[in-house]
Amino acid sequence: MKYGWILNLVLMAAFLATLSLGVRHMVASAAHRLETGEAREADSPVIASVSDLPHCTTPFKTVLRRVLTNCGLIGGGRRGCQPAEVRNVAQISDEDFNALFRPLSKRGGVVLFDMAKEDLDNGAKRFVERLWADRRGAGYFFVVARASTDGSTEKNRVLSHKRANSVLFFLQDRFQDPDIEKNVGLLWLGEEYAQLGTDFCQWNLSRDQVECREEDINRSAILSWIDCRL
Amino acid sequence: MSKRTTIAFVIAAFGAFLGLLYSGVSTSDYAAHLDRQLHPVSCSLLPGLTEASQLDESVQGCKVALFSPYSAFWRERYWGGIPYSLPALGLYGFALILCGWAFVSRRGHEIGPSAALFMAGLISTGASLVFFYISLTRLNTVCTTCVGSYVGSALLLTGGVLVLQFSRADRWVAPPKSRTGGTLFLWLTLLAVEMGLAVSLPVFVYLETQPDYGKLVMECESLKVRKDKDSVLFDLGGGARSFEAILVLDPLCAACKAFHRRLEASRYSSELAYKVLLLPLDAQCNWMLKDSMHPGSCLLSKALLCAGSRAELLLEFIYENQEQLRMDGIGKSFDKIRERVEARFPEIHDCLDLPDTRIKLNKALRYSVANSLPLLTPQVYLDGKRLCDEDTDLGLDFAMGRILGQ
Repeated sequence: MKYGWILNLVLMAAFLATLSLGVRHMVASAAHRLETGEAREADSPVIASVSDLPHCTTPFKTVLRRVLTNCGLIGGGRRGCQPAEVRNVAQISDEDFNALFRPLSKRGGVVLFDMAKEDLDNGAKRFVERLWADRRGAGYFFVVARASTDGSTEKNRVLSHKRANSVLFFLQDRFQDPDIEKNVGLLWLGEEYAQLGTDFCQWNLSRDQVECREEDINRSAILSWIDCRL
Repeated sequence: MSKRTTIAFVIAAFGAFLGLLYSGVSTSDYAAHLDRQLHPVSCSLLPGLTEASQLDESVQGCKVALFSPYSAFWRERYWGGIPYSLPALGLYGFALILCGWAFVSRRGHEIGPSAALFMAGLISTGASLVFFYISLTRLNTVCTTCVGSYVGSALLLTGGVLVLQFSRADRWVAPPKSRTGGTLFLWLTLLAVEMGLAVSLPVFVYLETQPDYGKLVMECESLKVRKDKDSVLFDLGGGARSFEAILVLDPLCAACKAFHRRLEASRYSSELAYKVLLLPLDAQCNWMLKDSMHPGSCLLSKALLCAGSRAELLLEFIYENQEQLRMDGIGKSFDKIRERVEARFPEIHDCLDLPDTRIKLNKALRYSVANSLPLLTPQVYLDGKRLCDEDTDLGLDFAMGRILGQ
């Protein structure tokens, strides 16, 4: 009788000890991996951020920063830059200034205006809507308005300012979005600085323009999102 | 002990061995996840002989069972809770040792051991029936390893019943040496204590060895900007509830669907006011990706933003048809996705192409940027605090309880 009890107790004790050690080993191994970080995946996840596309080269960013700072988009203050200021701020030639915009052809477009007019036609309104909606990860929206060389310099400077404002006011009316204040930068160049060549006729235009001469492409506002992280 | 009683013990021992083997494998798989990482799961009737896998379709049943709320208890008190396979391991082990003792001592026909063996078989079979029922009705899948232990418990019960039956005749032929009521009581008490220890001791050791997860679950970041000034988050009901839960989802992400379901099944679900932030992993609208992980999810995200008060219904529709929609997306059949959604929710037709909808989706993505969210789904922020990815399955109830201060 006693033998049976003792045997039972010995077997059970051996089993319980083995079971406890086994369970302890399983949990302790996991605890060790947890403490040492052995099991943790090496790759940390990508963090959501604004865009920084390949065309955002250092020279591009330098000019961009100067323009944004001096034309009021960084640090607040007044909005917009006129021709003389842009020339001073950007510190680059007309041709170099235009070259900065060439890589943006897929992220922007050209709104065309009638001669001596600043009103947006219906096609232009839809065009601006579409471009504004296509913000994606871009930080800034540039409206760079110009005028052709018809008329006086002073008159063209005012006209290009009005054209830039037309785009801004339309956006504000249409979307009622406080971000517009922070994101839209206006530059009005009149006829004085960085006139466009006909190569800009290849951009997306707000009108199906049969003819695109130099004076047509300069009665315009270039609209573009800037996908650069400053 | 007669030959037939011995055979009955062999049957019971074999059942107990199977149960021990399969519950041991399940426990080992479960315990491996205590490091808060994902691991391969054994899902075979020949554990150890086939390779454990994490992605293989054939292990899906075992993975579903392992990550289901039915695989463990006390999950809100301890990280991952206690797997049911752990006490089962003790119970099967107890039965196996009892059989071993019966073979050696030749006293298995006595009332105490035969009753204890029968009880072990009855308890394990009862539990197996409950879990089998849950598998069929709640999980809609059967886990191969679990089937192994169901078979083990059935054999154990069969052996136990036969032992009980045959041992009666044995006791006439070879009566126990001591037949007093006191001895029988002591026998039964000893076996009951042994069974209790076999079931509870591994649980105790498991809990004692566990690391402290309290700090770890609070380690993940918080939202920097909780204010939703552009109304990019949409409600999934429960607005008056105590805690805000912001779910970061991609409509075509299968893990999001599974996680959302787990969240709804958690014990804290009734206290959460759900809001959804869309983070489509589709390069069509998400500039942060070079390649689309879930093509078509931008379109579905816009549809959700357009659905207004029916967004919850639309999300449910997307979940139900997720596989089909995902295939359409991979095949670049975006028109098909659109057709399927518009057939059920025609009111969103005009809204889908509005620039305002694109702008709203963009703002949702910018909400992720403003908060420097990791570019992955699913995520959940409970009252602004992120539930770590490592705690979104086994540690869900524990972590939620800690974050919500419960």
